[in-house]
Amino acid sequence: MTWPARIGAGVAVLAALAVGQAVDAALPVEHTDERPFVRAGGIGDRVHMNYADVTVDAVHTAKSLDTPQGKVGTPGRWLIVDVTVVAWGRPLSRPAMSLEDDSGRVFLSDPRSGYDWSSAPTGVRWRAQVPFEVPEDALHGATLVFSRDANDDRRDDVARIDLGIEPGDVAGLWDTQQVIELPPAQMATP
Amino acid sequence: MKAWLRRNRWGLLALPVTVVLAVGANAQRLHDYWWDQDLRHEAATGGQGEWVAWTDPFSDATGDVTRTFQVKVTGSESTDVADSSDGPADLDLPSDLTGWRVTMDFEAQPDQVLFGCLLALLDDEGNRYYYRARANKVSQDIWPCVPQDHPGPMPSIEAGKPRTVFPGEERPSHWTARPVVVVPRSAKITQVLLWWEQPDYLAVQLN
Repeated sequence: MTWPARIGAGVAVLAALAVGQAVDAALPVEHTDERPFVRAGGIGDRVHMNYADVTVDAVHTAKSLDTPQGKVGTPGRWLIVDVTVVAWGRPLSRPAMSLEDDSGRVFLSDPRSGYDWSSAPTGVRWRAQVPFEVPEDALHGATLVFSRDANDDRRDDVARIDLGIEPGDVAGLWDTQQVIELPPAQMATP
Repeated sequence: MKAWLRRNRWGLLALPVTVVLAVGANAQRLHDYWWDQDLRHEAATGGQGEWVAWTDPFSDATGDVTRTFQVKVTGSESTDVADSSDGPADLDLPSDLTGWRVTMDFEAQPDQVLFGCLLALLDDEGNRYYYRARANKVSQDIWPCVPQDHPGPMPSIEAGKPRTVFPGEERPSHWTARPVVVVPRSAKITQVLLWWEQPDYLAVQLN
């Protein structure tokens, strides 16, 4: 190889590396938009997502839950969300439900409550009562967040359903001595 | 340039092979986390009323083996009852749902492992309705394609141990299964899918 050809090849290699570096730096690999597609709704709205339709039918509160392991009390209250889910395409085996209050705190349902999802069959209205243990100031503005999978909601449909709890409703919901037994998730009968 | 090409000819020939090997060696995760995670390969197929034969490879603690059987879907219809261990029982479903019964004749040697099979119905919109032993209030057979009390051999799950059949649970060489799957009344069921391990399945097109 002649000297000019060697220098030319060296310049070509450096140029290729520079182009590669420029492309790498220009592509937003570190900042890929992975936000879920949020489907918003309120109580009674059938929120449509690509893997399921979700409806919050009602919310109520309890002072303790009656479980097979005995009564489970709380210094706060159990906010119980009645949901109806219809899975599309495939059964819905492990959806994630959490509660978000108006200051952004997130509440998960605790296995202590005895709540357990059982896989929703495709096309069947599937009813569950999901308990969240909350303090009084979490009631107002609470929103149910429903996603397909607890570990991964990237670019997936997520429902955010406003439970419609106004400041005036808080005292009524908080003032309860009710003991509730939660049925397992099951087929909705009209 | 010619000299360069000649000097590097073996390296240049090896380059595409190396690229294929490098990509292939990294494809294991694609196989494990994507390909194997759904029904993707229609390994056997046929229509309602015809025998569909399938030799499905699988592995258990005895090594790599196969299961061979043939199945004929003889009926597929909406129903209000399903077979429980006490005989036919009312499904008692809401009005928007119905039971969908698939009647299947099976033929297999009694030593074939058919234990643990799974079944789903497919509708014309791509919804997959999985068989559940518990159809609302009725408890059906656990496995949709073997006789409940005569499932035949189970796969071996302990190294060095042969496959076993519980005494009295030997499977006949011909039998009929009638599993019921709960589906929306509006669904148009088009296919029956039968499988053990994903991604391979057997598909029968319904009339």
